[in-house]
Amino acid sequence: MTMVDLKERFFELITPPLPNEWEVEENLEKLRPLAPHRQELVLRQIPAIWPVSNSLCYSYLASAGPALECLADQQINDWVSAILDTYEQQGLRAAQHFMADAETNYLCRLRGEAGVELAALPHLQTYAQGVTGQPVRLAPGPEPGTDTETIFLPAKIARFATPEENFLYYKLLLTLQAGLLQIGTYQWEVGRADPLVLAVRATYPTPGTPPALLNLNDFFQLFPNPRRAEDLFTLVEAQRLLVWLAATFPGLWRDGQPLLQQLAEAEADHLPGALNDRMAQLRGLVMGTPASTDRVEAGKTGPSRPAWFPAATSRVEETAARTAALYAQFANSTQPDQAMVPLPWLGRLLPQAAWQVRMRERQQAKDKFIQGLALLLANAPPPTESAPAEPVPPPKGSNDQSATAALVLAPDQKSLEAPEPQTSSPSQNLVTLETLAEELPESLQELGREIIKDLGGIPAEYVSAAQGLAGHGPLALTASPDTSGESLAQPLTYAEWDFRRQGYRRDWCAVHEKILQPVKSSLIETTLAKYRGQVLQLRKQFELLRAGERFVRRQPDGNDFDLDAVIEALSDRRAGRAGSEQLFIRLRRDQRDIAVYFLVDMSSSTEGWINLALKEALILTGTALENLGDRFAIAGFSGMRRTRCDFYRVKDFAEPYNAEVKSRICAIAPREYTRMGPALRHATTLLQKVEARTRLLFVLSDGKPEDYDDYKGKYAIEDTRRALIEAKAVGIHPFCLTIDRQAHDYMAHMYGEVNYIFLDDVRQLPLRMPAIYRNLTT
Amino acid sequence: MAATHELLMEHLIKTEPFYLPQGDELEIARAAYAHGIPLLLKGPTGCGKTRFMHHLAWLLKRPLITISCHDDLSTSDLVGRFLIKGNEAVWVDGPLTMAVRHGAICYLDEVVEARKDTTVVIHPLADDRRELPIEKLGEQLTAPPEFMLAISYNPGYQSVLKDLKPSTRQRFVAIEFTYPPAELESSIVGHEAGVVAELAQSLVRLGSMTRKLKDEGLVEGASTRLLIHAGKLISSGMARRRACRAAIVEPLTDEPELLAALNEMVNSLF
Repeated sequence: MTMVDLKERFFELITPPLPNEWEVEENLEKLRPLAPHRQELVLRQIPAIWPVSNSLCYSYLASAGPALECLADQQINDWVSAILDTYEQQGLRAAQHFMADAETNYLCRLRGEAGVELAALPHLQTYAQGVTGQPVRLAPGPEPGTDTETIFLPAKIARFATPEENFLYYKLLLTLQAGLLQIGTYQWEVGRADPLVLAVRATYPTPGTPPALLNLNDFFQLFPNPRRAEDLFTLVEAQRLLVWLAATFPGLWRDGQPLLQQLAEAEADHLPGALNDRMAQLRGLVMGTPASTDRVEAGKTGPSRPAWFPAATSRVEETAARTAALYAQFANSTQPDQAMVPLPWLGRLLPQAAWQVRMRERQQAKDKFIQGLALLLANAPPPTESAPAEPVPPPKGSNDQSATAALVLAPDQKSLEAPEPQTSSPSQNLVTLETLAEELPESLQELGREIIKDLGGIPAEYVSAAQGLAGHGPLALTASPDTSGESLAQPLTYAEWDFRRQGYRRDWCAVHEKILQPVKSSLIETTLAKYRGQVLQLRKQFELLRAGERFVRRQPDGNDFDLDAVIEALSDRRAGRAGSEQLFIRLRRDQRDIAVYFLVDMSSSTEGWINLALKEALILTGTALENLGDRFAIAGFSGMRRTRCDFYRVKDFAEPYNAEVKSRICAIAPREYTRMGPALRHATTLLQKVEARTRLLFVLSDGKPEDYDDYKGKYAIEDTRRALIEAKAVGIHPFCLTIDRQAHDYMAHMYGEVNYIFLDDVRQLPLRMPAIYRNLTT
Repeated sequence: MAATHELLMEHLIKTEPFYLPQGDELEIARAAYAHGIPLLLKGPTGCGKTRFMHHLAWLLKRPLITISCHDDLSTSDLVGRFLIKGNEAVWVDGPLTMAVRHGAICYLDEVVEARKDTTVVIHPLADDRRELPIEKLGEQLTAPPEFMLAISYNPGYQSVLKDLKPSTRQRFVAIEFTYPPAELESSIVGHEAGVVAELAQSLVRLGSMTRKLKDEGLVEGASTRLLIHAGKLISSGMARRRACRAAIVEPLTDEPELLAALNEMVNSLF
C-alpha cells in the first residue's frame, strides 16, 4: 500500500476523532516495508487499541513491523491482547517496553522460558505449611532467607531452562529455608559462660562484656572479623542442612541434585569474587564444585562426607564449635579478607531479622503487660462500674512504685531488688518474681509468666511505665456514648459468667438492639462480579443440597411396593400376627429444616481486610442460602463496657434477602470492642424462638473476646465458653469461624474441639465460609 | 440352633490380629468388659478402631459381629424379622440379637450414620439392665455376662446433623483414638505393609505433613490405613511416588491446589 492508501485506511478505522496528521504519517511510515497482507493484519488491530489509548496505538504501529519479523501471522491477535493486558496493568511505559522486544517479552514467555513466578504458585504456601508444620508466610525477596515468620523467595526464577526445573528450584529453596527452622539454626542461643564463648573470647579479646545470652549474631560479633565467622558458620550449617535434606526429603534431594550440579558448574566456570583459598575450597565443598577435592560423585544419593561433615543428628552447637575451629585456621593466613558471595541456594542467614521477630514478640508482650497493668491501676481506686472490678485490690494506699510492685508480686516477694543475690546477672533492676500475685487477672499473669520466661524477670521499667500511664488518669478510658444506629427498644439484660466464683453475675450486661442504617455501596455488585465463577458453582452445589432426594421405605402410601416390608408383613401374618400396613416406598425430597443465625464480630480489630472479607463472605453465603432455602438471620455485635453491648440486627429470619438487607450488610463496619458473651446469649434467645429441627449459631470473629473493662483473658474466654455451652443446652449448635494470624491454645477450650475452624488467611474467608456451612449441614 | 452357633463361630477370631497399643486402651476395655459396660470408640477414620476391636475379641476369645451403620438401617435389620420359608413363617435373629443370645461382641461401626430412632434400640442393652426387647416375639432377652456392646464414631466430621445424642453417649465407657506417635506408627505401617523401616518412616512423615493442613482446607489428613495402603502398593513393586499418589494423595482431596501441594510433598519425600 502506498502512504496515501495506508493513511486512508487508518482514518477509516479510527473515525470519528481526528489525530494529528504528521504523527500518523511518522508512525505509519514503519509499516510500508511490510507485505500488503501483513499491513492489513496490523491495521486490523487498530480498532481494539485506538479507543484504549492513542499513544499506545502509535507505539504499536511503530513496533509492529520489527515484531512481525519473529511473530507468525496468527500470533498477532494474542500479542495485541498481551499488549493491552500489560497496558492496563502497568501503564503505557511498560506496554511500550513489552512491545519493543517481542522475542524475549512475548515468545519466550509463550515457550515457558521466562521463568516461574512466585505469585503463580499458591500451592507452595500449602506445601510450606506441611513441611514446617507451622503457619509461615511466603513473600518475595531479593534472595532466599527467613526471619522465622516469613520465608523469602525470589519473586521469579528463570535460572533454568524449563518451567519444571524452575519450579523444582523454588521448592528446593523453600524446603531449605524451612529446613533452617527445623534444624534449629535460629533458635540457638548460648550463655555468656558457655565454654565455647569463653574460649573464643580468650583467643580474641574484645572490649566490653557480651550480653548474658548470645544469639547467633552476637556470637559472630565475638570474632575480630564477624563476617568471616558468619561465612564459615553458614558453610558448615549449609552442610548440616544438606544432610538434613537428604535424610528427610530423599525425593527432593535426588531431583534437586542436577540443579545443584548445574549451579556448581556455572560457579566453577565463573568463580564469584576473589576468595581466600581455604574459604574457596570450603565453599566448593559445599557447592560440590571441582574446586573441592571430595567432589560429590555423580549418581551418589547422599552428600559426600569429608571427615568433618556433620552427622544427621548433629546440632547447632557443633556447627558453632566447628566455626570457631575453622576460624582459627585462618588466623595465620596472610591473604586478604574477602566476604563470601552467599550460596545461591541458601542466601545469607538472617539472624538479625529472626532476632527482631523474637524481639517484636517480646515488645508486644511488654506493651500488653504495661497497658493491662495501667488499666488495672487506673480503674482500681474508685469502685467504678467497670465490669468485674471486684477481684482487683485497690493499690494499697499510696501510688508509689513499691505499692505497684506489691500489686504485681506475690506476697512473699515484695521487694524491688533481685531477691537472690546469687543470680549474678547485672540485671538492670529486675523485679524478679517467680510467682505472680494471685489477685492479678489471669491475662496479666499469663503475660507476666511469658515475660519472665523470656527475660528472667519483669523489668522495673515495665511497672513504672504502667504507673506513668495510669498516673495521667484514665486517658481515653471513659466510655463514649455511641450514637450510630438507633436503639430499637429498652436494653435487655443478661447474666455473665464469672469463673472465679463459678457463678453468674445476674443482669450484668445490657444489650441494646439496634438496626444498622443501610449504606449505599457497590460492594454487592463488585463481590458478585469478583466471584462470578464461584457464585455459579456455589449455586449449583447448594441446589444439589436442596434436591437431596431419597427413597423412604415403609410408608403408608407411595409409588412402589417396599418388597422387604411386604415380605415381612406377609410372614408376620403367616406367623399369626398382624402385619404392618406400611408397605410402600416413596421418593422424598429431604426437608431441610435448618435455621442459622450469623453473628458477626464488629470490633475495631476487624478494620480493613478482615471487615471486607467478612462482608464478602456474608454476601456469598447469603446468595447460596437464598438458593438453598435455609432460613437465616444476620446480626453484628460490638460495644463498650457491660452497660452498652450493641447488637446490630442486619437481617431477621422473616425478612427476605433483599436489597435493603444487602445494603445493611455493606454497613457492617468495625466499631469498638468484642464482648462475646452477651451477644451470644442474645442470639441464642432469638434463635430459640425459631421453630426448626436444627438450629445453628454461626459466629464469625477475629481473635480473643475482649472489652474495654476487665472482660479479657481468662474471664472473657470462660464467659464466652459458658455462653456457648448455654446455647448447646437449649439445643442450638454453635459454630465459630475465627480469623487470626495463628491458632491459639484457648480456641479449642473456648469453642470446643470440633466446633470451630480457624483461618489464618483472610482472603480465603469469602469462599471458605459457604463451603464450611455446606459441610456443617450435610 | 446348631446352625446359628456354627455361623457365630465363623466370627471367632482365631489368630492374633496385629495391634500395638497406644496407651492403656486394652486395660480400659478389659475392665469395662468385666463389669458389663459398653464401649464407645472415638477417633478419626483409619486410626485403628476396628483393628482394636478385632484384637480385643481375640483377647477375650469371643466372636465379633460387626455392623456397619448407614441411614437405611432399620430396627429389624438389627433385631431380626420373620421370613417365609416354604409355607412357614420363620423368625430369624438379626445380628444384634444373635450376639446377645450367644454372648458375642457386637460392634456398631460409625454409629452416627444410623438414624437416631434406630440407635435407640441399643439403649436398654447399654445400661445396667442389659436387656434386648424383641417386640415381635414378645421376648425379653437378657444378655449373658460374655456379651459386649461397642460402638464407634468419628467426632471430626463437624456436621451438626451427625452427632451422638447425650442419652446415647452417656451409657458408654469411651476410649479416644488418635493417630499413633510417629515411631509407633512407623512400626505399624512397616509391619502391616511389609516394608522396610526407612520407607515406613517416610510414609509416616508424609502422613503427619498432611495432618497439619486443617487450616489449608484438608479436614482430615491421611489415616494410618492410607499409609498402609501406599506401603502395600510399594511392596508389590509399584514406584514410590506413583503409589503414594494413588493411595494417599488422590483419596484425600479433589481440590486442584491441595492436590498440587500434596504431590509436591510426595515428590520431596520419595
